[in-house]
Amino acid sequence: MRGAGAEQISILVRTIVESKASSNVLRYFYGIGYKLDHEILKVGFAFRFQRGAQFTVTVTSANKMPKLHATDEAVQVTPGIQLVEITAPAAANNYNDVVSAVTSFCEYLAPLLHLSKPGNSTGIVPTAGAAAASLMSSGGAKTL
Amino acid sequence: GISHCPARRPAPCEDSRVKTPPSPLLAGAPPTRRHGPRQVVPCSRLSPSPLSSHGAQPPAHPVSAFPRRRLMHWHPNPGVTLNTQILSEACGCAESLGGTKDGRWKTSIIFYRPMTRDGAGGAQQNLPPDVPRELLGVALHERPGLYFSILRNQRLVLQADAAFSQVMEKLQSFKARVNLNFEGFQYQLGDFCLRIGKCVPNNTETLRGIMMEVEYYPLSSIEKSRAIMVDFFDIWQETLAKKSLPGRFIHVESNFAEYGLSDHYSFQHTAVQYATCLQQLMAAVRA
Repeated sequence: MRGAGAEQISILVRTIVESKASSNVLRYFYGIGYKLDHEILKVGFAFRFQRGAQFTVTVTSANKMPKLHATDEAVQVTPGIQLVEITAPAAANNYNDVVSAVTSFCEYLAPLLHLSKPGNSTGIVPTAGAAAASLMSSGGAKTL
Repeated sequence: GISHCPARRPAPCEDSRVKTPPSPLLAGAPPTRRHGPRQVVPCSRLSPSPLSSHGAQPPAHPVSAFPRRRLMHWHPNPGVTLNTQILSEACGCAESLGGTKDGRWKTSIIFYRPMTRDGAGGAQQNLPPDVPRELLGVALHERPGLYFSILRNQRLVLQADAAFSQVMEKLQSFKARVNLNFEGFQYQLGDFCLRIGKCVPNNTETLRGIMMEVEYYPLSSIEKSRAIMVDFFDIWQETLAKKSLPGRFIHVESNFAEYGLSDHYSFQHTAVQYATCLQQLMAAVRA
């Protein structure tokens, strides 16, 4: 990544608990006293693959809605700027392996991304086109 | 006395009141359990009819329907305290009817109370009106990967992964206060499975209740299996009555419709029955 602070972005480590639930789960949370705080519409893509760790890469734009559930009237929070998130789950026994896999994948992706501040889009990195072409031409043979 | 079924593999004898033939063996009910003892208990009450569909096994239905189950709790006579002798007598009855012991079982119910500023034991009367005073977590013995949460006041049963209890723990809005285990032995009895057990708080031996589960493999429709369940229960009560025990097993209907559940039996139905059963046990102890 290029842009102010790019080298200082660190990997965020969080504890995550995931569970499937039956379709009445929202009614359940309302039933135990939770209230709607806010609603965001996220639009974009998700990719999942294995590269030393189980990766999920999402490219999304966040959108606000003037009325509850009014997805047709959604407006981008940061027009022209998208959020790229790279996540991989880790446990105590593979933590270091996941860290190095995520680090090296981020370096792999760096030529394509340019940090922008909201309201001040830097646009597409000039080198992005060439970098993407180079990545695609080497196909899956490129080792990370 | 109990009459023997025709000499084929044990199967439900068709009650003339039950119009439709039994459903095929459903996914989830282990096929090996059909080979129970030759004495099939309900036959003494039901008129034998030609057993038609006992050749090829029909394909299992790919639906989320499960064998019908019915829970009953032990209601002691007034003034009588619970003791484990009732449990052994009930197990003895199961064996005398031809049941074969098939291992142990354990289902757990966890009581959660809302966290207030004073902690989970704090002034419950200061709760906002939309926060329930309690919620139940249920972990069924045959599906350790699942977790059910019941809001009784709203007639809501949630089905989730076992990880959901960790979600609740992380949220810290409710805290587990009491963990009750329903545990005991299970018996195979033809197309029925009996689970007879005691209710004890986790890590103690204090007897809080005695209950039993009857599962009928061939049918998952609650309506269609009602007559067979009632017949089985009558035979069970007759057999148990010979022991002159100070109390009786009672079945209290759960209002499945109020919970939004259909006629097709499922694990959610079982979770709701456990909640009802627990309520009954607590009321019986208080009385």
